[in-house]
Amino acid sequence: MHTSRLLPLLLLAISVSGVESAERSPAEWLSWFAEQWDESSWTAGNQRGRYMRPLDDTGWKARMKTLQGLVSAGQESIPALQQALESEHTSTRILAAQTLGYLAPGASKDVMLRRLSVEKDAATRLYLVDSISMQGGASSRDELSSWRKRESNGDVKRHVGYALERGGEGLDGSISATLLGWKRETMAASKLGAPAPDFVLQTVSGKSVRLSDYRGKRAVVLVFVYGDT
Amino acid sequence: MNYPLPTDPTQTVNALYGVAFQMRIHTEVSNRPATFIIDREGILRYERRATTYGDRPKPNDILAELKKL
Repeated sequence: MHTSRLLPLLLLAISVSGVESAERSPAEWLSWFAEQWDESSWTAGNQRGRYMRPLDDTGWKARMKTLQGLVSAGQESIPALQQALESEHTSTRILAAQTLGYLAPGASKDVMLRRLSVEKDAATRLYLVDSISMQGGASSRDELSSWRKRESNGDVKRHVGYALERGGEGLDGSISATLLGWKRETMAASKLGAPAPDFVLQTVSGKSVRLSDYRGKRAVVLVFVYGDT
Repeated sequence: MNYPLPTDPTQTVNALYGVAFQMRIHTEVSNRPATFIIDREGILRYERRATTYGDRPKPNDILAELKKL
């Protein structure tokens, strides 16, 4: 009696987690992201355009999930991402360019360099430059040096400079490992009046900081600033 | 005043606090600037999520919030 009542519940739990893990193919992730991302909802503008997502935006969650879904699929994602570099949808090209960096080494530098030379959107160019550099090896040095002379955007030029300074040192493996181990259920987990979600991060000087180490000792002012990645 | 300056290259902690990938700046898709105050017991007591570049609490606002704890 008891087992027959328990069985359907157990099966349900298994099938839900099964759907979750093989949710989408790389191409499906990218088209799902394009559907979820509302380009018209940018707010708070200046002379350079609108720059802030609304407070109730959910597009960033789709972006985060898609990034992880694509990185989890590993090298299998590369053909879909290379194709997405040609997408009409600018935010898809930006995301594809960024994701190719996390899949280093193995994403084709040649495909990215080719796209860089025709790409109209500066943010896509910036992430292409970063991702080319994350593949490691010195082989794209000459192409990037000559691109720096043609590049019109100061921020992109700066990133070409970073790429050249890295001198062939590729992606730090711990970065993609963090993304792979990340749990999507933890998105937007902070709630006023509830325990602050714990985390561990490395400081610029290489020390580890764990939020919960301050519990029982000191209050914490946690400030999210923006900066170059 | 000394304070640790951790970095979040994957934006996973930014995502945890709901601020990842929400602002365009320096031609990047960056996080929304935000300030949180966590009391000694580890409870989140204050949050301010920016709606413009310069939208952030003044030092006195933060001190006043800390005094409330």
